[in-house]
Amino acid sequence: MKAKVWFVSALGGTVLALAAFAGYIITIDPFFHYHRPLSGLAYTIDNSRYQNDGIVKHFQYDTLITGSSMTSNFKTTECDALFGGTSVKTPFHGGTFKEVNDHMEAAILANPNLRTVIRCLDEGNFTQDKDYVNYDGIPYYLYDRNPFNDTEYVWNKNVFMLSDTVLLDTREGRQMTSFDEYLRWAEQYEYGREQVLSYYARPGQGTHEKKLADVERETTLGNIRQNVTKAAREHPEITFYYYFSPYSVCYWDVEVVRPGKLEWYMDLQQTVIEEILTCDNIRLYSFDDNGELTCDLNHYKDPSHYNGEISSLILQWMKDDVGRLTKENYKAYLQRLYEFYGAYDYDSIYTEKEEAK
Amino acid sequence: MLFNSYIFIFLFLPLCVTVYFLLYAFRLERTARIWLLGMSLWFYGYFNPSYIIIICGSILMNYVVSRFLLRMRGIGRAGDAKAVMIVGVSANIALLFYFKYFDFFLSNLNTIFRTDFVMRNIMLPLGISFFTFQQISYVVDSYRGETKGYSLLDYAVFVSFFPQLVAGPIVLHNELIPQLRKTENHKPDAGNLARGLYLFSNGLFKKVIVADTLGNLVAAGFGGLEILTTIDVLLIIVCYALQLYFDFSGYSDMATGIASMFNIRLPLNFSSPYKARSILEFWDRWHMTLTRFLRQYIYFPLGGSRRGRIRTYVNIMIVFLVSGFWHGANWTFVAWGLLHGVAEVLTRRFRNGWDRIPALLQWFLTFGFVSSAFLIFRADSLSQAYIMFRKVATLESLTITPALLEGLTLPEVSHIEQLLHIDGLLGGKYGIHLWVSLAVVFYAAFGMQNCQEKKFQCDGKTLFQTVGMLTWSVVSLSGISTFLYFNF
Repeated sequence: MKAKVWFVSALGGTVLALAAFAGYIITIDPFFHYHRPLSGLAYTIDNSRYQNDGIVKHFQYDTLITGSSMTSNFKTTECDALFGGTSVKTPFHGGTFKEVNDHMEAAILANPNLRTVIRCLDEGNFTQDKDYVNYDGIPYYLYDRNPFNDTEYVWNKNVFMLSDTVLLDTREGRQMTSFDEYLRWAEQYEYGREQVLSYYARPGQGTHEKKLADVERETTLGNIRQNVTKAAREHPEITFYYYFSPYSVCYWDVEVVRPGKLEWYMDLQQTVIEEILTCDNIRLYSFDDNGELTCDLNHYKDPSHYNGEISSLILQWMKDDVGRLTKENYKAYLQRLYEFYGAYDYDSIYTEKEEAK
Repeated sequence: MLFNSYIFIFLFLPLCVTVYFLLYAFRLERTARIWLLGMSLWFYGYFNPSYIIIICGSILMNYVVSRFLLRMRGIGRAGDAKAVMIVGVSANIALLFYFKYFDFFLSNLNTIFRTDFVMRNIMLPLGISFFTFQQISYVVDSYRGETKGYSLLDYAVFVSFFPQLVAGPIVLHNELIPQLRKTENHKPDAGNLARGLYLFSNGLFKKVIVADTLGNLVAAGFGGLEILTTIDVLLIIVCYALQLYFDFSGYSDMATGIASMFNIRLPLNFSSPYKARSILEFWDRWHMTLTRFLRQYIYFPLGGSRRGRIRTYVNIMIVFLVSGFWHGANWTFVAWGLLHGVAEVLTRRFRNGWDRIPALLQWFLTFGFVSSAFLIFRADSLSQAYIMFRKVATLESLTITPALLEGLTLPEVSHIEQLLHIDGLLGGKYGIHLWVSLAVVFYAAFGMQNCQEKKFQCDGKTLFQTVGMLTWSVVSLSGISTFLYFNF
């Protein structure tokens, strides 16, 4: 064979093979990067950082449920029944305010029909830097509008195999993952006092009360302004249902009261609430003052994660405007928190043995 | 920029080669070289733009020193020339010391003298060891009068020529510059393009499919040191030796293939090193251009083997000490170098006895030593290497931990098994994937001829191989990350 023929054939053969490969992936598109799911195919939705962006850009919806793992147990069917319309759920396990907000802004940009956003605000993330993201390796090539870095998607054997799996699952009669099921972990865990206590060792009693430093206040405000209130200010046509994830009483013990941070925490919450309440289209909710919820460890699998029933109740409460914080009532709410968690008998949670651990 | 990246394969390489020959076709010779220089600097600066300043500074300094040396030789000032040569070489070593060894030096000072110098965390420019050694050779050759009056452009293209810039082969000026200047090389040659593509696809496959898969097992092993068994450590030793070989020789194949597309022949860097039956032979087959450099510019100037047996052994130890330091700023590399030095000295000293050992045993002992020494090379510290060797010596357990048992499983193989509904039969607890993969890799390393040494023929077999390896490798460049959420 002549070298020239060989060279041209080798290049041509490789180009053809790669074109066929990319064509297959673009057609099936398991991460919905180019189009919505092909009708009748059994897509598995289970990878938030690879699929959420495609979901908000190509699915039909007017309500977005997003946030951290605290939102994973929401059922879109319940949401739709309560709020009307059509919702999609795009949680990010371990997601920070920055990551969730960037995603939410992408959804707003892509979907002019978006009317409602339901999102949790993890109190543990308030003081993070406004640009902090938990993970390396996030596939930003799927998020941007640069077609050239799509090479990582269309020439990716793992994506090819996922495309195969879509066809295989379809042939075997499986259904596409519903948003009720997507990343729902509620049924995978056990709940109760034993479970919650197994997640941590109780720290020693702090010796002095910590105050919120100016630098912490500024960092928090930077985080909230960039990742919570900015989108609301820019989009008055959208209603944002934000709620503070109701952590259990054990969280209050370990992270707030025991380390001597109750006043610090109250000051932090006040800072955040006051900033958020400057936006009229944000409906802010908190259930931290619902002692029947936070003190009943049967609702929790660890100090912060609550079960599926509470997720359902949160939707219902927000619909009924229960637990809503307003400019008029937030100071009374903070006072209730301060008095309740300040006076709570935390030792009653533990046996002597557990205390010693 | 990495050879094994989309931007290099789909944009940089085709663009660079095409425009280079187009400029020559329009008789824009100087522009073609400037293009090659510019592209090489882009290639290098893609890692970090500040690297460009470092390499340009280094090129300029060495060029000025070599011009001085040539001028001094011209006017018969040999004594002054020697001083300039020493200054030039020292400046190169100082540059290397600053970027590569300064923090290592400070940390050792802190340990020995209980001082608390703050680490500078100096960023190590990629390939600095390679282009510094390359330029030391140029300065020394200028002192010896063995360089010609190359232009600054030619010299800069020689040093920065991107195929060999980051990881060698360590090319000498008299190998590269004449080829760059040769008029016949300024037209695209289908034979060289074909050979280049073939070598590149081979190298890419070695790196992406073979070495990276072996690397998964090694990384899993080093990540779970506490639970490793004796067999695990032996497996890691073998897999790391193979990973290093396929990674480094794959890179050299890619470099040689790319250079071939420019009608440039780079020297052979690996010649089936694990077929060696002694340490002496191993170093004639492993990273051959480094061995050549160390021989020509350190061993021979020290007197080589001409000053008696003891001095020869001392020279060998010095060479391997330098080699150890060159590979990295850690005592593990120094220990690795010294071990090889001792092995080389012992082999020379007891050559007659060694030659009487059966060939298979010679090979086994050589591979055993080389791969075990590479464990020290890979370890984060000498104590980590010690822990692993102790696990071998104490015969703690002869089972294989599950993570390693599936460590060499290619996801596409599992997928095909799943499609064929035979995923329960293979792999799993019997570790069939592991043993089959190891057998294939062993055959490639010990049984096959190096693709650079094989006579390349444009036929259907090489065509099919090239398309297959290139496609398979390209679609393996990217993956899907896993984001562990520890709260669950």
